[in-house]
Amino acid sequence: MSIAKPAICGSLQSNDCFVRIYPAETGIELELSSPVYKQFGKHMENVVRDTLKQMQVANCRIVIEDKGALDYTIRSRVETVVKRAHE
Amino acid sequence: MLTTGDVLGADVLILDLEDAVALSEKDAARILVREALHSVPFTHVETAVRINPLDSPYWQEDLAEIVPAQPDALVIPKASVEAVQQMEKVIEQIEKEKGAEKKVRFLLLIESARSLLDLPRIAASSERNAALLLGAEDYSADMGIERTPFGKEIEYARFTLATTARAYGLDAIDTPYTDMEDRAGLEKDTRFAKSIGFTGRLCIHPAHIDPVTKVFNPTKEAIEEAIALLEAAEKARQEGIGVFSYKGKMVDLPVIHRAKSVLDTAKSGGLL
Repeated sequence: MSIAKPAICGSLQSNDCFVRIYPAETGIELELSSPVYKQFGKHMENVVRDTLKQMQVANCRIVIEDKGALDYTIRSRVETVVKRAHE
Repeated sequence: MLTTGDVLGADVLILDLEDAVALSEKDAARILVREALHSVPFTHVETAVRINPLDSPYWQEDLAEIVPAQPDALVIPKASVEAVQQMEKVIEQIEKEKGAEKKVRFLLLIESARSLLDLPRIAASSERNAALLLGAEDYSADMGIERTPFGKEIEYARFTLATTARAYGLDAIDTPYTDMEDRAGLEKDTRFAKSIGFTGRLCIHPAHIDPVTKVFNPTKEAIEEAIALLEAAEKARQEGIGVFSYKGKMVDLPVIHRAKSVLDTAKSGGLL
């Protein structure tokens, strides 16, 4: 799935995350900030990358501000933002 | 709420895709709810999803995302025979394609004068129908009347809905109590709802769950009385007596059925 335009999804409320995505040409560029980055940062990045892979996104810049989102929330926000950027 | 919904004490957790969701966020909400249904282990509560109504452009996408995630039920807003039947056709197709293990049930939200007058046909419109729910805010708006704290203006709707639900073997679920602060009013109004045949009530805040549950659950005394009465009934049956006297009152089949109903409610509420 190609990223045709910038898109956003989610919020900065507790237990959510705010996701921005932009077109790019050199693979996946991921920026993640989280209050629990030290504990769960790598795991959260894997969730994001797995979701992008499942959606066949090869190139994009994705920026995530986490506010304590669980895996299913991250997955759903990434899926939504990709679909919005593809439309 | 998605994460904590399992432990709030409600019988059913309704995840909303309709009025609580801004038009610009419909896509995000249905994906989030789908993922929650797949991921959150809801073990103490049944799950339902309120989809968007038949006259909106969203309901088919809602069904495509949500039905494969197998919630226990769907809340169908602005319920009508047409809505139930059209949606059921789409749902049957999705369940067949996905090899669904269970059929999703319908909780029908009654929120217009026309729906109220057509209630028997709506109640009988599908074998999936499990409950009639009163949406008094939209019903009042449709009627062009104002809601009051006393609720006199929705009495006809309440009596009609509770009676029809009973006639068709469905649960009757009352409209939410919208005053967040008036706990005494909530309890009084809920006791009235129970007294006319409602079997449950919608709650719009977790703080309402406990008081509502307490009203609908039978008391310890009522449970003990029902057990004693059924023991007396069993004894009478063994002695070949049809109608007998218990604590000075005649006991016949309707009284026995009511006692059984008390115990059924107690069991489903985890009190037995």
